[in-house]
Amino acid sequence: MAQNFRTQREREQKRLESRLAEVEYEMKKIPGVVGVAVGIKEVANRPTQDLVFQVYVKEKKSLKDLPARERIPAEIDGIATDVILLESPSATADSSEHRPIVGGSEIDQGKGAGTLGCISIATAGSLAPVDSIVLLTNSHVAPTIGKLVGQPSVPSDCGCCKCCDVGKIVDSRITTLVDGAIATLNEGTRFTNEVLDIGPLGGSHTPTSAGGTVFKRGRTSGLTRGTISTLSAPSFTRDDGNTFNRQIRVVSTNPATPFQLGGDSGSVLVDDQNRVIGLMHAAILPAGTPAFACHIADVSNLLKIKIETSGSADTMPLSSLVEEMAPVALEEWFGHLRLELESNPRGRRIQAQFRAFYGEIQRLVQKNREVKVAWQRYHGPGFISHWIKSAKQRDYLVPDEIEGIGIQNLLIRMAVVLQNQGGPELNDMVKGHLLEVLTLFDGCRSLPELVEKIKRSEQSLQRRKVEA
Amino acid sequence: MENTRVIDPQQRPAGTVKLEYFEKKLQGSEAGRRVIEIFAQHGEEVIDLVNQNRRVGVTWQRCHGPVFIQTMLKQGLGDETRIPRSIDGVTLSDLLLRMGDALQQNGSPELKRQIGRSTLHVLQWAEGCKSLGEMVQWIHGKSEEKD
Repeated sequence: MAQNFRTQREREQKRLESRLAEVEYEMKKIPGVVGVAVGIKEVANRPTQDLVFQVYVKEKKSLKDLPARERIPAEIDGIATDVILLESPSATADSSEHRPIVGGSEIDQGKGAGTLGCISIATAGSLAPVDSIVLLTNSHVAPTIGKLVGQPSVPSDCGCCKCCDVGKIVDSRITTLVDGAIATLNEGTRFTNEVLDIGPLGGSHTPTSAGGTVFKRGRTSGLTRGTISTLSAPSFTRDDGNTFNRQIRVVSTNPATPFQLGGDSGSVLVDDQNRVIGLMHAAILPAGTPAFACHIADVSNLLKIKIETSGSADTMPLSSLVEEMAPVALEEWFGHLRLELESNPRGRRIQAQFRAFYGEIQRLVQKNREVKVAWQRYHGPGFISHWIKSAKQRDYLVPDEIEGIGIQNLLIRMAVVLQNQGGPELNDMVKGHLLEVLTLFDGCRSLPELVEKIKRSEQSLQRRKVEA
Repeated sequence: MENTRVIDPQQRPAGTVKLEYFEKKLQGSEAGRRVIEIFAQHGEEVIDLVNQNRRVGVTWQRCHGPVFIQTMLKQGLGDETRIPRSIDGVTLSDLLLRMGDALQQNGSPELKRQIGRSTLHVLQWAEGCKSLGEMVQWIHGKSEEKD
């Protein structure tokens, strides 16, 4: 039912948009009309679900004060209109420290506190290194390229206090479509791709109709809920003199509460599936509603970034924690095992296989989303840590399971994802050796036990060859 | 398209295995009785997942699960029933591994735990047994190993 309603509304949105240019041309003949958009009707500042032509005016007047030719019709060819006052919004400023770095928290470059929108990844053409992790916020929050940005408070460029420094702004621009800035993270700064009070993000999305429920979490007004009034508000000029076109206009669900206040600038606008659809930058103050956001597609195209999914089924929290654990720990663990296996032909074969495919597996665990998710969700780093401990402490027993997941569950999952995502040789290797690996780890809880099993199975194989 | 197919919740996967054959054959050993117990505990959940969970259902179809079952049923269930090695390039081991993975991802924590404990043995059956009779003997052999 919800799906049908959404489809109908999208169709209706498209129908109205096909008439928009012609309607706007006619309406602008009326003095005082500055623009027309397709959006939802607002009644007493409350959003409804009716799609209408929103007619924006500089000043609202009573009908009795207007001659007939200057009155905006109640409907145009059967489509209702809604007269909306175009105001000049103001660029908008929890001051707590958050580690790992997380969206929705305060960020400051010394121009007044704003909000860290979310974590994103630099793509080709970005001023940040490709595939590097970057923080996203507004340009008017962090305008100076090359300068540090702090969470929560102003960083100390002089170096006397570095505890708040989290990154450096590499790109910061205001255009008629975008008010955006990105910062690379300082080395060692941990992050997680979630937004406070909202949770893990579901990537980005371009909405196709007005009326949808949206949320934002800013450092001033916290988590707020609103409705998309229109996806293409007419041109407006902010109180800092910057003019914007085609912005997302949002009204607060409860007109008595603000959607966005000063200091919330830079927060991401998300839909009801936690997909980022916009970057907040302005609001009518002091009411805090309506508020305005750049389309995230425009932000991504300009700053050359992408926002990854995180946290839902088949995705992962985009987090520094996985990258710390996977490749170094696996190499270290195998280093311990290698010493034990040198004298054993089967052990040497296992080493050769490991060496042949380690690089590819390492790259997949680090870079491939399906493999990364599987490795983390099935506690790959956790199991590796226990096996390393077993290598260092001979009497240490690796736990049977970590949070309900056994090592066999991990091996099954990894076998499937490595076959799905790896090259043909890796695929063959996994298929050919899965049974052997599952057998070796079956019931095995320490490194010495694992080594013994390898040696015994080699001896048993040699005996069978002799008997044959 | 497979991912838009509506699965009738009343419909059983193609060739619901006649469990009476197995119940009779497996009663004779502790390992056999353990297998029956596992089926009793988790069978309904597995069938529900195949029928109602899109990911599990798609995996079952893509790995030709129904065809593997039908191929055995057409022979009639008995000791001589041959277990197909592969169908259209998908081996029995592929089917069992991917179904095990789909079930552990979408099933209850108890099912996930059982998948972890059982997959090795299931894959060993698939590798080593050419017929249902051999499979039953293999399972009984597990009891002797423990003894």
